[in-house]
Amino acid sequence: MARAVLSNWSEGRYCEIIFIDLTHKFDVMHFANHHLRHIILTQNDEIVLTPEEENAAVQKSLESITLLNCHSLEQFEIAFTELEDLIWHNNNIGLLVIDGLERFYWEDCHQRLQRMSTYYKKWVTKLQQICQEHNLSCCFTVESSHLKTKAEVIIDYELKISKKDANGLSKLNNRIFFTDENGINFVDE
Amino acid sequence: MSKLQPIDKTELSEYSISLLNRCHIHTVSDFLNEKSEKLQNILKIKEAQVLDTKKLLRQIFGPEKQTLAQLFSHWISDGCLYKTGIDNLDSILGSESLQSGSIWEICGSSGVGKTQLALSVVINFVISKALPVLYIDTKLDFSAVRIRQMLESRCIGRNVYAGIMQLIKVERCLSAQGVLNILENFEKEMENKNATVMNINLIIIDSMPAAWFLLKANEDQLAGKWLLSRLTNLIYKFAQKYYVAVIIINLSVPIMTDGPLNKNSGDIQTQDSEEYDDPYGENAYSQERHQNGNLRPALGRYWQSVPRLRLSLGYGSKLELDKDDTLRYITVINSCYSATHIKCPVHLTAKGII
Repeated sequence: MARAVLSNWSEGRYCEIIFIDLTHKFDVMHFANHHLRHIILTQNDEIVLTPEEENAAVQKSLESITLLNCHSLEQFEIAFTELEDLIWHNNNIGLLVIDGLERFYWEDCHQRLQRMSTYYKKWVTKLQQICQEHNLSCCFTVESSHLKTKAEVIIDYELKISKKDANGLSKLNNRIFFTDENGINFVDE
Repeated sequence: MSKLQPIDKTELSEYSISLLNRCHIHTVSDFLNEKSEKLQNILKIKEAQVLDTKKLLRQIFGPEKQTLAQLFSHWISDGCLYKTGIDNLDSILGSESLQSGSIWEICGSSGVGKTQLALSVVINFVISKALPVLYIDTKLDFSAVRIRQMLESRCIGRNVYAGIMQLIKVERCLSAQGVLNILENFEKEMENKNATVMNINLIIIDSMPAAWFLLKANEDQLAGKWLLSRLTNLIYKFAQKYYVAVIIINLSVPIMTDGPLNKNSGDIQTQDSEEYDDPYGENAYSQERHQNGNLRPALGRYWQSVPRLRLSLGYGSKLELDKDDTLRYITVINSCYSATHIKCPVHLTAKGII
């Protein structure tokens, strides 16, 4: 999200993002003070910013991301109608981010029993329709146990994170990485 | 899903709702997903009125919408960071303090001292902040005598005992639904701006498995998962809305090395229920280890990703225990924002965990 929102900031343009948070572990302070600042400082070596300019870039980035906090399946379903409204009124929105697509599976199962893969396919299909209709990119996270029959759903780019080993290292698409306050760092870089 | 209810000063009167029901539009979601032209025809109103009604319903029933800039400024003004008061633990956590709006978990094997750790954090919190704490006791383990003993050992003046103990609000229940009822009442009281409840910034649930394991019988498995999901959403909802920190006590259980946990779960409501045979995700752990050897947090795969920070309380080696049986280790086994696989020694004493 940090890289997307700041992708054109040196030209004074900010990609706008809609972020649907279903896991509620997002930390805005950490995002602003670590991820955004790290990208602002490292993105362009030729530009040296004053603290005021840096703060202004962080502030503008934060204003460019709309957060929809969903605490129930109903709210998540309504979020999609909210999305349509937001997208129609704002041409600058370029990215839709959803954290925890599987989060309301058990709540939905309570009303109508279904496979995890069925639930996953339903929501991914909706996302694909929205992205095609409005020419958006979408990035979502999902717990891998919901992907048993993933062959039925075509995803353009798949990033798979595997479990941490005893040293605290994980793999992202078979590349070993670790995380620190600035985000993801690959060991082979 | 929320059913359509009359709303004053809107197009949604009882009569309108009965017209909508006849056209199979019963819930808020049905109304919002229905085409405006159809709604105009049913209710005989203008498009602008339909759109206004939809907008109102989205505001009432939909997700909270704000920019990250607004969230940032709310956090600056209302958010809080707390320390546990256990020096070694605070030192390894660094900037990842107990943060209002987040959920922590403390897991460990039975009898290792998890409740003592929770009580220590509670006492440290009450003493340092002079704010009330809600302690939900599902094991009927909470002991005022033990609290008093901990205060006496810390050489706290007797004249403040009553004040400290009054700030620890204990609620007892024996079921998962009971825990949810307590939290739903808590949320209602917060919405009604009950002065006592508004000051509560820390909630402890001791412990989750005590209430949820009752739901692991075959016919209750899915109900247990559903209640767990509801609990998670409810806790995060008011934790973030009212800036409350939540600590949940969980059990560490042995990882299964072979076979499913429940062999007879195939008759739950549907055929080919391979995904439902293991709703707690027990089998998923047969290949995994974490630093506590062959133990994993209970409550299954869904719960794995819920807490923002997961701490494990464990014993030292046999040699260490022979020298000092009060020694324990707290290990950070999962964290969204800090380093993991680090641990610190603590001691279980009359003062609590120090």
